[in-house]
Amino acid sequence: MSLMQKLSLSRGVQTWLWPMLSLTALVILLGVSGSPSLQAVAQLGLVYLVLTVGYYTFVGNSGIISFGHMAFMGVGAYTVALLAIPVGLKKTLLPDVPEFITSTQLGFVTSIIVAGSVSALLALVIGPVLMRMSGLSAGIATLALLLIAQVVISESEGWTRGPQTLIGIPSSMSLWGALCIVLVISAIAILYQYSRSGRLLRASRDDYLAAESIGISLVRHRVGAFALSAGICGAGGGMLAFYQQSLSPSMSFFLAPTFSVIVMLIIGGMYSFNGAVVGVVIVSVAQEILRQFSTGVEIGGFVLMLPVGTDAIVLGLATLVMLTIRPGGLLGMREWVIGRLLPSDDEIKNDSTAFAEHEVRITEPHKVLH
Amino acid sequence: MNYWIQTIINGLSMGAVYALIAIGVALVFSVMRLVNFAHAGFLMLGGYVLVATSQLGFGWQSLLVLGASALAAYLMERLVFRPLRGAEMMTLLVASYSLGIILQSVASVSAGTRPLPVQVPAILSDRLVLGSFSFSILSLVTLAVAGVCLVGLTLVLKYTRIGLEMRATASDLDMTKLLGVKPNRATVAAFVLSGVLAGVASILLVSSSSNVYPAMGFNYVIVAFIACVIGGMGSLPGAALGGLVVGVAMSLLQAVLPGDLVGYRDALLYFGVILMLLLRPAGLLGRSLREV
Repeated sequence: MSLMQKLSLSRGVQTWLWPMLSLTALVILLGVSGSPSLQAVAQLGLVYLVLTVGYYTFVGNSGIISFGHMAFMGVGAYTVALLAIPVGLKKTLLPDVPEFITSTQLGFVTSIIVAGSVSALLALVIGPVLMRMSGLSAGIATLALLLIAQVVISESEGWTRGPQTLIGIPSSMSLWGALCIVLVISAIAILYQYSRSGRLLRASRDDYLAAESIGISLVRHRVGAFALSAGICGAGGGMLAFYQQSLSPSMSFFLAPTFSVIVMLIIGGMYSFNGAVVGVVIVSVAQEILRQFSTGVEIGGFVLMLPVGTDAIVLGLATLVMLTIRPGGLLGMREWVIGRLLPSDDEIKNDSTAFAEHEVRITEPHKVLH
Repeated sequence: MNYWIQTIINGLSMGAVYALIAIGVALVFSVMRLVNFAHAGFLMLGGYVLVATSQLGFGWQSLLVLGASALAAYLMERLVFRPLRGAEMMTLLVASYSLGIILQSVASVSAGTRPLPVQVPAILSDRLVLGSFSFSILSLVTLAVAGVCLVGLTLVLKYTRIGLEMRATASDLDMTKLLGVKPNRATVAAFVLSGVLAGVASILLVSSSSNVYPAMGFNYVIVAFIACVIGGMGSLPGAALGGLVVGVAMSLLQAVLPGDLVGYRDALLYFGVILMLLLRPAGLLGRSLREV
């Protein structure tokens, strides 16, 4: 293992460890002492964490906007429905589905793995086409992708029951199951972020021309990141299916989570993994508080009741304010690192100069001693 | 034969409305490189103004709609997008997407998510019979109104000082500033014009659907984006042409596709957009997207 790989790995482990330890502690606390409704909130938060990490894996690393990732969430969710609904029910609900799918029923972990793989494969197929675009074209093309997914899922009646609600997904997801998936998936995302491919992609995000001029084939790395992030979003969609236990492909099934993951990433920090985690936690808590208010909360003898939909207004405003005064989000490009064994990103302008700076620290330490 | 001509006329009339929306999107895009998802808010606002003022005559109502959307457009520029001017493409996209969601949520909080009925003059739903053809009055009125708006817009852009300033800002912001033109004026003017066009479009849309609901604007703005991409992002004639092309294409696809595929019509259209972005990113009449 080269020095560079060791440095990347060690930094990756640290980036993962600190937020995941805190998250695990928080979830254990909720799981042991929280009410059932609070545990459900925590589960939904974990589902969104997976979706946001998936979205971040592409957008954060490549710097390309996407409005289309929740298409993969939809694919993952419906894959799980096809796999996990009990055999008898599946045959009556979904007549067009081939025998080998309707005659088996998979468990929680296996069906999530399959959901992630199906989404990743789909992204591998369409990635080479979409990844030739960036900027505005990418924004519009990915939006078109989302809308295509919505139309196709709600029109394929034999496979998805069309616009009707697809019911019967078992409640196999426990808080611990969700937590385990989050831990594994965030480790994968971090490994990618600090891998050679992830580093190259981040370098291209910071300076496209410089990266291309030293011969990085960007499309290939983008497709890789796209497939990985689609896989993660697919797994997140699978978790969502287990959480909701029913699915219906309305426009808002796709648009609401698209908005949520964008808000979460903007608030936490678009280019930092820890930012994504922080954003999910903050927004989930805020959403839950606002939801409480929309059912009525008693304050000093008065019952304050906000209309349903207030949460979207508040979160949207928070996003606008954030974009205006602090476009980098709370964390910007920084990652939290325990101790100061290695320089953390806040001392480094961007990842394309990170390597050079490491080299200087190691070979010529006097240059960085102030 | 008559069937096809009527299909095309219907498509053109729908396309004329898309063109009005798309031109508004293109106007704002050309002066500040902003793809405005929140344009949907103007369309929805127009419908709700019609609901709120149902006691007045249709003429007064229409005037109020135009006034309200002009004011909303001014406020949108002043409060949200002026502080963000010069921000990255991604920031602008996300900001306008969030603003769109905010406006939609404000509507659903204050008026509910269900469609509200809107009273429109009965004459609009009559049909005009000419020989073997039969046209709805509304589609003819739509074509006429859209034509007047396009001519008016062209005159404003070509022969007024503010039109010149807008064109200058669109073609080279820094040079325009150096020449002493205030960019704020041109940007505000572009927003207000785009709002007014959206107001007109919303009256026409609501006249044909007779109802209004919070999410109605979103679908049309997506179609307008498609029209802009097809015509060439930032090109006004392109947006108008794109709108007409999309309208006719939708109407023809609806007529041509076999029964079990009609549901996939919009998916085909979105797929066409992705193809367009790949094969001819500059659109039919526009500059290359790589430059923006």
